[in-house]
Amino acid sequence: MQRARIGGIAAAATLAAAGLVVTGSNATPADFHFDQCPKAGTLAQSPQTIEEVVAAARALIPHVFAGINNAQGRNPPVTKANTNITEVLALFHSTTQATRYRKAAAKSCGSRVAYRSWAVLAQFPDMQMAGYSQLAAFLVKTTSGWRLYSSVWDPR
Amino acid sequence: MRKVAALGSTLLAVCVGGATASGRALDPCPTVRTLDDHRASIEQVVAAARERIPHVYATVNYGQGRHPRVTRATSLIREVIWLSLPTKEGRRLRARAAKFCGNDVAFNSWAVVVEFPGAQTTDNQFAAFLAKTRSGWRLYGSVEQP
Repeated sequence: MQRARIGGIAAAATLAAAGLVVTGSNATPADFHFDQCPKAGTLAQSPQTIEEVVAAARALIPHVFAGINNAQGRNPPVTKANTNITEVLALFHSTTQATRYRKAAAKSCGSRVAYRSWAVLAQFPDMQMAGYSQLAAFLVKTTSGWRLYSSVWDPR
Repeated sequence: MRKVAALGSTLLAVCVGGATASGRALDPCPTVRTLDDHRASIEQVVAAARERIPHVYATVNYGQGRHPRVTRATSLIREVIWLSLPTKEGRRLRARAAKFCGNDVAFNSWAVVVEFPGAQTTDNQFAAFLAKTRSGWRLYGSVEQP
């Protein structure tokens, strides 16, 4: 257990050095409710359109990051109006950005799942910690629907 | 030498006139004054790209006497990036967009990376640059994506 924890810290440190901070698996903040990792055998085989990805992100983000705007006794809900999606990318791409996110996604659910995933960059302008108001969420489509299984803070 | 210079100025005129050397019928550059101040949602960007791509890349699938149309099924959008973002990829694409219509327009634009699997050449993936003006969206620039 201790070894796994140290391994997690080392992985987080590596990603932090690359400008990413994992919020999935062991480092999950209590407010986030990620879906479970899908098994590679349950991934959807059909290609997904960008519209599908955006719709899935809109549906899942308010649930997974429900508490992200909570501060000083206020609990403003996460809505479409206070979630700015600024970037969507397929992680099978070989661009620098996609490779960077694919590595981060693989830390949570393995490289096969990461390769079939999409990264959705979302800004939460109502969040109290401005420096951490942007994250990349990782989504993948399974035969039973979409899962948002992890995310990384992307402070810039 | 004179012929080369004449050819060069003809090519330059074609580019300034709103079409790339590869025959894309790009929209004219928006002016900064005409840009829409309201930030677009990603859904609006995707809808605008779906509307403009079949016009701008109308001939991308042409080859060997066949003229297949560009449809939603034959244009796969792989990435959408807001170019105001200070990411490495955002900065790289913003610099490319600025070559078409200047820095101010580029800063207010989105890049949409689209792949045409039915294209006859190996260069079948492009980053298209879109900006929202008060009179609608413009797809004013396009570069090949490796």
